Amino acid sequence: MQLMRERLPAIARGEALAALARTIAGSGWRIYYDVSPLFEEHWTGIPVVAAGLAQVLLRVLPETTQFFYEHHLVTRAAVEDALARGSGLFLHRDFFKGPAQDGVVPLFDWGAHALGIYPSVKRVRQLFPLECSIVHDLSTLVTPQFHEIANIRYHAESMMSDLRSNAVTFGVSRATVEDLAAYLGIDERRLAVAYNGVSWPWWFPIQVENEREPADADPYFLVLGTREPRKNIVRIFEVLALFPELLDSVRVVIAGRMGWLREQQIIPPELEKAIETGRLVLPGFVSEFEKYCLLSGAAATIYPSFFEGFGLPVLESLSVGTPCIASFSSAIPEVGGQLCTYFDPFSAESLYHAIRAVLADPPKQRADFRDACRAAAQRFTWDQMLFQILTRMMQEMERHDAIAIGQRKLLEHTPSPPVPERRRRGRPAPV
Amino acid sequence: MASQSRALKPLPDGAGGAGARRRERGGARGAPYSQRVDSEFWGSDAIVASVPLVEPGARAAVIAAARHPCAQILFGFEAQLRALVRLAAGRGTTLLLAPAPELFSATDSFSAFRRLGIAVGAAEKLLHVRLGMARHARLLKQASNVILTGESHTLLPTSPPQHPFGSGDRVPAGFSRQLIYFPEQSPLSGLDGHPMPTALLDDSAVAADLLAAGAGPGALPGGASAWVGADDAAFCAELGLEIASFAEFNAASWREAWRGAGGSGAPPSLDWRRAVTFASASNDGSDRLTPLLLPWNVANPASIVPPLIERLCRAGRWQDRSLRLVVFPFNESWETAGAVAGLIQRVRAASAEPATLRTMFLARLRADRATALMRHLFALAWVEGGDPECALTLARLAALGVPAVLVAPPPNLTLPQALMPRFSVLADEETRQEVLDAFGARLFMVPSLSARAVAGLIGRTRDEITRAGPPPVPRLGGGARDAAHA
Repeated sequence: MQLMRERLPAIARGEALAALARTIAGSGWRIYYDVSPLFEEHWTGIPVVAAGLAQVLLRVLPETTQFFYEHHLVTRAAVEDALARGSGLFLHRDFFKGPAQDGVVPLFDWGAHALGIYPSVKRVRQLFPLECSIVHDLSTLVTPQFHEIANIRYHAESMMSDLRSNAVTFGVSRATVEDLAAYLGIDERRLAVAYNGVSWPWWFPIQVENEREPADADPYFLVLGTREPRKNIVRIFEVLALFPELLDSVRVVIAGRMGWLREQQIIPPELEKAIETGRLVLPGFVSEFEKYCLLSGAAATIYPSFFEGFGLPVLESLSVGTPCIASFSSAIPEVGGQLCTYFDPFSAESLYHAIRAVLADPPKQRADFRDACRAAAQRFTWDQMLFQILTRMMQEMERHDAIAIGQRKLLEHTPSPPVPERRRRGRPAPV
Repeated sequence: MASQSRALKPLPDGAGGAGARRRERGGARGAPYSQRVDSEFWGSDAIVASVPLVEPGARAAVIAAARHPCAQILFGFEAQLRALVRLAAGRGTTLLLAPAPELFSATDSFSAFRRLGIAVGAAEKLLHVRLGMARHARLLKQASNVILTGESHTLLPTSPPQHPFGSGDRVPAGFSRQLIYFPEQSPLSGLDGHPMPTALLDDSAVAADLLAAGAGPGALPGGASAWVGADDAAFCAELGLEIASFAEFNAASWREAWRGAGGSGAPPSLDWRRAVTFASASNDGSDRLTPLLLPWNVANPASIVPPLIERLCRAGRWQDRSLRLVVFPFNESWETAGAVAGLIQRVRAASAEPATLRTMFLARLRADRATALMRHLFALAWVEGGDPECALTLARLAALGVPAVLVAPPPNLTLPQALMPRFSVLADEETRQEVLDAFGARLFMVPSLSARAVAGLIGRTRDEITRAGPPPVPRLGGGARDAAHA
């Protein structure tokens, strides 16, 4: 019964999304969705969000949605194929070789009824009468010390133009929206929150049961994310070097591809023995299924990031019922709510206290914790994210239509200007 | 960074003629400051300061500001922080430091303040004072945000950079006010280009730390004037004055000390000891050692200090036996991590006379115990007129008792009357400096000195020192030394 109560709002939202989709489909508006983030080979972070939204668009607005990359349309089949594979490797190849191209974006054919949705930075802008984009964080602007110069410049150079050309800019959290207003002075009426979602293929839980570790294996903590300085993996190394006895009772797995500024993430020599003995494991990039396995098998995850626009790994952890020990920074508490154990990302001691608290009273073994995790996962879905975007954009579309009607009426009721006297007499008007 | 220069028309003598005229009107750019900082400011429950991030080496998201270790304390944002700490202590206000204020967003983040006795949920009662360079300004959301900067941007890039804060004089929209040190400071702008409301700090805010540490004229322990001798070279190191010649400079140890390791325990520079011994062994005033202090704002992308140093190094033994240039880099942050090492690498490669590298020094002062010594150590300071923090640097030097010379001031520079330099050497060239960094590609047309003008600067510096006469000879003996330690 309780489960039913939790699911009711989700069902209601699903119906609301379907109703909204019907309204849009009947309105004459077309939706153009930028798939450039899906061209990445390995999907983590932004490509995952772009894929989640694309999936829902294909389901609820199949006839109204078209996909594009810069000025070119992309075939639906190529996008569906990439979504099925969970990788943009073939999409990228097929687009640049030609088969995935579906002609050019019909720039002048749609009248005033085209909405461009950009799930990240706009590669080209001001193509459509109405545009919106999603800002995932302002980290290149606010924490540039964690980025390479080329990346900072790429974002900085397009940021203001993107924001100016949007009817609405969506932030993936309240914290990101507040950053946009506080740093860049964007009018809050042109900002809205669209929280990220999480979803797993239906067969993952079943497959995981078949591959579960033996029950007598030592528990492990999982650290998930690209290894870049902002993710603060060095704090994990620091806590393990300071308190090596932690590795006597638990293992630590740090999964994720190697990112940039590697010199700032060197593993201290004290931990080499732990790597040799398998107490500290660094498997590198893991597939979606491997990630799911690692997440569901972990005693807890640790997310020490210095700055996040959302903190997708926190939600992914909670979605499989695994507790998360998370940095209290930026948007992370907004996502983790009361379900995470928070620590100061600057302090190894603070992290140690959080780890000890979770070991002393493992939340994963509590039914109420698992229920709360399930509720959180239902609150953050790709359906819900698209619903937030389309609801807000529907208002803009209506406003846009009303203005267009108003302009037409104005033209109809405006008397023609009087013909100049000289022209009436057939003399040429002065230039 | 690339640069090329062209000749300038001669400018009228004096430190910025247009500036002097503006001063009469009261306020730079004709924008009067709104009000003085009052008791309301100091009456806040707690003030949270933040500075540009040096290294993510902090041990907590909020600490007591007085506990923050500084890499150098004389100039720039670290000096601002030290002065603010002293002011707050004098007024009984709790001053905290958040190394990364941008990470605070939710109530859970603010729980970090609980450890320091600030109630959770009281974020809106916090006052956040951002110090340092405007383009690095960060906000503490939910708090009241003001920026306290010594910058006055007289030199802006000639083309608008793509980065929202790339021009250097614009700050995030969330700042409500700018606190300024001098009425002559030009106000910063919001992203819309409108000047921010400003409020003037008390005069004591510029150098409260130095004054409390006993710097300034006649402030030496025991009232003695002193000159640095051979054994006092080691004494400098004990007091936290680190000096290394360009030949001795070690990038790794410089960086380690910058991170908070190393420090005053480092052995004194052999080249410095040799230089000091040479000078003290000479009884003839003509070849007396005359160290010159050259502050270098590492965060100023259009600084003429690196080209000036390179020019001097290429020129060989310009200092002959008496002048010693001691460069004090300041405003080092994550952004400029390799700037000092890069400069040394370049001058080592380009130096015509390798021995010259043993007579030019890099220095930093890490503790305030030696501030009283500065006026006895340095006869004169060369201050870059185009540096945005020029006035603040001049004011700090004045508080230390070190007279200053203004080098290549831009025509629109305005300075408080009290900070007028001993003399100015005007720019006779305009250098085109192209900068490409995290804030994008920018082009600056920088007033600078030709080789001829640099020769004139050296000549006038010698004349000035000769005119001032030899400093009093009494050496800093054991008793005074103990007093300084105390």
